[in-house]
Parts: sequence; C-alpha cells; structure tokens
Amino acid sequence: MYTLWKQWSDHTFEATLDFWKRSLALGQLKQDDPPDVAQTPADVIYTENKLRLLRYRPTIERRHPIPLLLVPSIINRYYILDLKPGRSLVEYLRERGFDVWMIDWGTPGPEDRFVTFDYHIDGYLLNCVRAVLDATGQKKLSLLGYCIGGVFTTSFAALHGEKYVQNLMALASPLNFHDEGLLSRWARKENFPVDALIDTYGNMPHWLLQTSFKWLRPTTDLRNQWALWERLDHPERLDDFRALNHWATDNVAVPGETYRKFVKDCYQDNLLIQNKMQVGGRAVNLKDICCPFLNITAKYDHICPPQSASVLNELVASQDATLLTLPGGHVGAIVGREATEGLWPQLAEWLAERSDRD
Amino acid sequence: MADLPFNPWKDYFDIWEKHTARYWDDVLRSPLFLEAIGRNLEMSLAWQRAALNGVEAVQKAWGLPTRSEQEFAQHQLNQLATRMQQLARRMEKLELAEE
Repeated sequence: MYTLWKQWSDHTFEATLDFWKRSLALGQLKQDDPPDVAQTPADVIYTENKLRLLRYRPTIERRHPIPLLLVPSIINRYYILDLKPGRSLVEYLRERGFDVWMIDWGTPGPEDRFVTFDYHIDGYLLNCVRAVLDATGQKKLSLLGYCIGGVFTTSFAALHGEKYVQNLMALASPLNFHDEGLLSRWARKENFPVDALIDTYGNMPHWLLQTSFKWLRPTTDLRNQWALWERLDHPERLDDFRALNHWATDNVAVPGETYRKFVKDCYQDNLLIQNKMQVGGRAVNLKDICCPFLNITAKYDHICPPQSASVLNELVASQDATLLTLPGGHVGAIVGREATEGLWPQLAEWLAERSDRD
Repeated sequence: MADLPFNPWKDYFDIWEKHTARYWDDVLRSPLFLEAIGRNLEMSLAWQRAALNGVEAVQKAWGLPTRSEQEFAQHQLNQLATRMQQLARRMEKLELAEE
C-alpha cells in the first residue's frame, strides 16, 4: 500500500514540477526575441528591384566546380532552405564543397503588382543565372527549385536549359495542378475569382495567403500549441520549432500579375503539363528538358501532393531522370529532423556525381 | 514526458484533432461550401472595388494621380533602374575586356 502511495505521490510531484517548469519556460519564451534564422554567412552578388542574389561563403575548398542556384518559393521567405545552424540545407551542401547560391525574392511593394510571371523566369531568374555564371566563370549551373520556385526553374530549364542548365532538381514542386488536394479545389474557376481579387488588391495579400494555408488544416494552430508545450523542456527542439513556426507565419505578398497568371494557367487551366503555357511569347515544352533531372516529392505533402509533382518524370526528355519520394510533408521533408538522414545526403550524392564536369 | 499524468489528454487531443481535421477537410472541399465562399468573396471584392473606383474618380476630377497610376509610375522607375544597372554592368565588362 505504502509503495503504491509512494509511487503515486512521486509521480504527481514529478508531473507538478514538470508543469511549472514548462509554464515558467513558456512565460519566458514570450518575452524572447524572434528566433535567429538564415545564419549561414553569404555575400550579396546581384540585386534587382527587391531581389537579392546570395552566394554562401565556403567553409572548405569548393570541390564541385558547377555552381548550385537555389530558387525558393515566392509566397514564403527564402530562408526555409537556410533555417538555422544544423537545420540548413545550404549549410549542409556548403560543407560538402558545393558552391551554393540562393535567390531571396524580397518583399514586393504595391508597385510590384505589375511584375509578371514571365519576368520571374525571363528576367529575374535569367539575370541571376547570368550573374552566377559571370562570377564563377562556368558555362552552366545546377538549378534547384522549391515549391513555386520549382515551377520557375522547370519552365526556365525548358526555355533556356540547353544553354545554361547542367542539372535540374525540383523539390516539392507542383506540375499537375488538377489533383485531389484542397488548393486545387479552391482555385477552380467557379470558386475563386482571381481577377476580381487582383484588380482589387493589386498584389495577392500575404494575410490572405496565410489564412488560406491555415485553412488547409484548421486545427494546425491548436496542434502547434501542444507541440510547443511538449518541446518546452528541450531547448534544441524548441528552437527548431520556433524557427520553423516563425518561417511558416512569415508569408509575403505575391506580385498581382504573377499570381493571376499562376492561378489561371496552372491551377485553373493546367497548361504547364500540356506544354501549352506561354512564357515570353514561347510555349514551355517540357520535352525540351534534356539535362539530368532529380524530382523530389514528399509522401504527406498536402500543398504539393506527390502525384502532382512525380508526373514530371514522364514528361521530360532527360535520359537521366530520378524520382525520389521521401517521408514527411511539404516542409518537414526539407528541414525536419528526418531530412538530415534522408533528403540532404541523397541530394548531395546525386548532385556530386553530376557537378564535376562542365 | 512519456509517463506523466496529462499524457492521456494528448492521446484524446490527437484523436479529436484527427477527426476534426477530417470533418473540416470534407466541408472545405464540398462544392456547396466552395460556391458559397466564392460568391461571398466576389461580392465583397465588388464592394471594395466600387469604393476604390469612387476614390479614384474623385482624385481624377481634382487632377490628382490615382493609386494605380502612382504604382505604375513607380514600377516603370524600377524597370528603368534595372535597365541602367544592367547597362553599367555591361560597360564594366567591356572596359575589363579592353584592358
């Protein structure tokens, strides 16, 4: 009897202590500054309007001559690929001797409503590619696009690949937009008045993007609160969680004309996989992609369902096309704990084998 | 955390969250709901646009530039700045090549 009572009292004491420790930590947390993100040292090599082209400083001798340009999405900040030390794809690749570059799209102002989808490919991206090649003296580079960034890099590779692209990697990049995902349903013509929205707001407002992402799973905020509580006694996991949460709520507005074309041509008419999408007056023909191609999808991705991305492997003409499906979601697969043993080494290995020849 | 008394609450929460999320997923993809939301959004945007158009009409009547005119002018300035930057880079390259 005594043993049982002792066990119960110890347990209760331990639970109470744990509860107060976490409550104190939570109280302290709210007074803290935002987490430190995007810590890998980099130099700004090129700027255009709000865009910055970053080149990450090497920690070891650059072993692979072909530079790697990372192209993130335009609806979130670029630093998802360089979240924090130990949780950074950039840092991982840099430490393995790659010459890593990244585009930071910046924050569009109201005047950027006129910047078109086509200009993101034939203007911003092309100018950045030229800046990378000028600075490195190489003839071609490797391109990695994440999410909508992957739509840009894929279109770019189809239009300019022969001249500039050595390797192409698509990371959770939707290509077939008529899938069973919620975003695909919401964006249909009969449900989503994209013209009225852009004509009214100019740019696609960040708060509306944020709201729609929250509504993909309305219980996410509650789930996050619980996840935060669980991590309060583990500083490193707590820090990871806060950094990721900071990024997830750090949406930016999308230039109006870019968003209009993206929704109409991709989500509503699904022109890209039909080779009918026009960029700068030319049709984007996916069959023109002949370079080595790595397509990475995440099994539980609800923003870019795997089948929406994997279809690209059947559409490109590359002889060397690989499809990699990883566990995790749209973000977890890229920066989660599983990425350090899953995505990152596999990506680095694939790229290393193809980054030494020009 | 593994054997603390409030852990069963976590299990209940997980079950509740999963069911609730599934319920909302069904609601959020139902055509009836989406059509209603689409109609409401369109109506609300029409009101906002009407208000904006009214303001712009007044600005025009007073000979003032409208919001969209100012934004377009700023956009053109940005384009000009980019073009000049690119020309400067080309000149720099040519000068280096000559040397």
